[in-house]
Amino acid sequence: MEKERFFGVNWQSMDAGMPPEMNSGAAAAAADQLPNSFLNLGWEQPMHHDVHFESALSSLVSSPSSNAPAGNDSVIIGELIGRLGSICNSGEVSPPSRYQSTNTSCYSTPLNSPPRLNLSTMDHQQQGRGGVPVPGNQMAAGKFSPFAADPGFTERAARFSCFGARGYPGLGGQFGLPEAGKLSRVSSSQSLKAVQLGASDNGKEVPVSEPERPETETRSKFGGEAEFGNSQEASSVSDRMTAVGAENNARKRKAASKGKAKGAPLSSSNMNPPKPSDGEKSDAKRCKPAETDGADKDAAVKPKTEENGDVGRKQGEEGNAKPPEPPKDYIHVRARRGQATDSHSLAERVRREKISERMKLLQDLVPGCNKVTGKALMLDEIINYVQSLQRQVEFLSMKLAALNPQLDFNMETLLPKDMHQALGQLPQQVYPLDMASTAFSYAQQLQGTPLQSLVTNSLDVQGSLNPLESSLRRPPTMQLPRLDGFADATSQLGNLWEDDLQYVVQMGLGQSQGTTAFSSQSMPVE
Amino acid sequence: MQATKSFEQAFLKHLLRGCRLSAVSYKSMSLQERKSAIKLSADVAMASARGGRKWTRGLITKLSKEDEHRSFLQLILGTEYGRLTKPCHGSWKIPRSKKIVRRSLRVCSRRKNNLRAPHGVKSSVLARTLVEKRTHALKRLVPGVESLDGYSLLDETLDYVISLRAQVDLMQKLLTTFEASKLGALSKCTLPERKASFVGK
Repeated sequence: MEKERFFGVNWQSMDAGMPPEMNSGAAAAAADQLPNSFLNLGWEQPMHHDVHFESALSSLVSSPSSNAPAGNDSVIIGELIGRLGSICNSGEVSPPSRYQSTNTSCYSTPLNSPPRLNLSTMDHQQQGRGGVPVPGNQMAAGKFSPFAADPGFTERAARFSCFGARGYPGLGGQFGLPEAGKLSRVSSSQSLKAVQLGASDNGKEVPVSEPERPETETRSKFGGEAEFGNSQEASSVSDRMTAVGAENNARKRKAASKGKAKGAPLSSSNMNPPKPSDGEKSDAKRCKPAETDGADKDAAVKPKTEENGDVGRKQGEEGNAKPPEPPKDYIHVRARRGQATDSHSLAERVRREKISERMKLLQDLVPGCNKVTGKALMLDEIINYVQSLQRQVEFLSMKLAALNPQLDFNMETLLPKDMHQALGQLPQQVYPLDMASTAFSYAQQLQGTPLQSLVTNSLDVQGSLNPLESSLRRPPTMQLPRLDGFADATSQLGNLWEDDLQYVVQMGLGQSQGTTAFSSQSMPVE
Repeated sequence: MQATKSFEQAFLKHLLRGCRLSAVSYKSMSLQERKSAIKLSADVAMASARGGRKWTRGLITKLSKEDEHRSFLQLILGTEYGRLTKPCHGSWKIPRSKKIVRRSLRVCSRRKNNLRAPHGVKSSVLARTLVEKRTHALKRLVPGVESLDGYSLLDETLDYVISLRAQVDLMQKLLTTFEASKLGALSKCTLPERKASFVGK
């Protein structure tokens, strides 16, 4: 009882400090509904910012398109960037840590992708694209660096680049096509709608937010909403960018062919039905795979497009010639130089590339797979890894069962949502905990706490366990320097936790330092 | 790649709830029973925290094959149970008799071997059989992927590996937390004044 109450006190004291975690925690508790997607809760708040974003963009779009002078390019771009920056900064105030928490786990290089994607979508969108004049490519490119440097934007850009890695190639390819915003090819139904809406808006001075908002409202799932909102925002951003940064040069043709070829491996007929539903789940887990996919595809396709520069040009013109093609979910694959061009080998190549993508991801995931090449060996490693993980789960459940007698899972009161933070601070480790040794390290950490009686107790314990400890683990001297760190941890968490929880966290922090040597020993213990 | 915080929170919540619901207690259950109850709770928690994937559906279907687990699953998952166990169109398994399938495979392989024997073993055939063997082994490990082809299989495996890793990590952290707090409880007994302070709260 007391524990519950005192945790209520602690929750309130924590309120100022971490609202986003609280919100997500409270939402998780209140909802009592299992989230269907990983980012179910994480995506809720960003929606508001997308709306602001779009309304700012729409106001921006309407004003420049009405002016349409040739000399106000830099002003327009500066305005746009300033507006976006202010939106991003204001949007960043409330859930910054949430973004960090949800995004840092999945995005390694948010800054890399947006500039590249922006440049690739700056195709030569000719006259038909609204009344916005055409500044130099370099200027727009130069402007993008402060734009992309904005942290809020990078987060959002990273987010939509993750979706964009799927839908963007389609968008990028389509911007190589002419005015009326008709699409010759679509990589997914979402990007289709996005581009259509965005493209149709370009011709008129219709604010972008209105057609997009009903779209976002009609989405059933949060994940879908968020992704669609983001892809809308992505398409609207890219539309503005393309409208602003259009010009004729070989780079755009290359980008067009690159976009098309990039779109091909990432989009396919048999992938599309599951993809939108998968995309709606849009878990952060998959975002990183998709982003690395996009990055891989860029690297893979770039040398290809440099070879096929003239081929790309022809393709661009060909695309111009057939605007009103209905959106179909089929693949456009351009054959590489010196390869067979019949449909079977093309389809097979696409399939093989998809499989190799997944294999690469799995290689990153499964430890020790970097040296292994070849499908059979990789599968071997994967099988071993899955088996070892399953065995670990059994082992841990056995340990929990052995531990259980003293607890009867009222420990849930000891594990409020903010406990997950503490658990999150505990780094990952695998080792069998020995009672004596844990008591010893625990006792050592207690010396950092202000509780005198406990200190005396711990000193007694320490004295008795010294020989045990030295025989079991590293020399105790190694643990002493870490006490300073624990003192810091104590002070940080002191406001938040009562005493025994401090022990818990310190325990975890203490055991975080190494003992990875025991990880290899844990498995044979079974 | 890592599982998100929401996954971790949902997993822990469901795990603890499941353990409490299954009334894991020292008095009534042996170690093995407790261990299997905890493992069941952990698997269900992982599947429900992840949401709708092929492997989650397969896992829950596999777990609910035993009658005693079914009521437990329904309790934990509630409405999700129906949603997660209904067969999705992509994974409908055509019921095939194992004996017939095995016989036809044997005939096919014998025919292939008879045709190819004079030329020796081609490396591509060898590679393909190796890969096939491993694919079958993987299909046995990951629940619910029997009917998938190469790409989707790797996709589901990727997801499953991430979830398993998160499960293992969270269970470890839980273990350390429990052990530490147990020690805390032990040390508390020696300090009557601290006890009084707690009672006062």
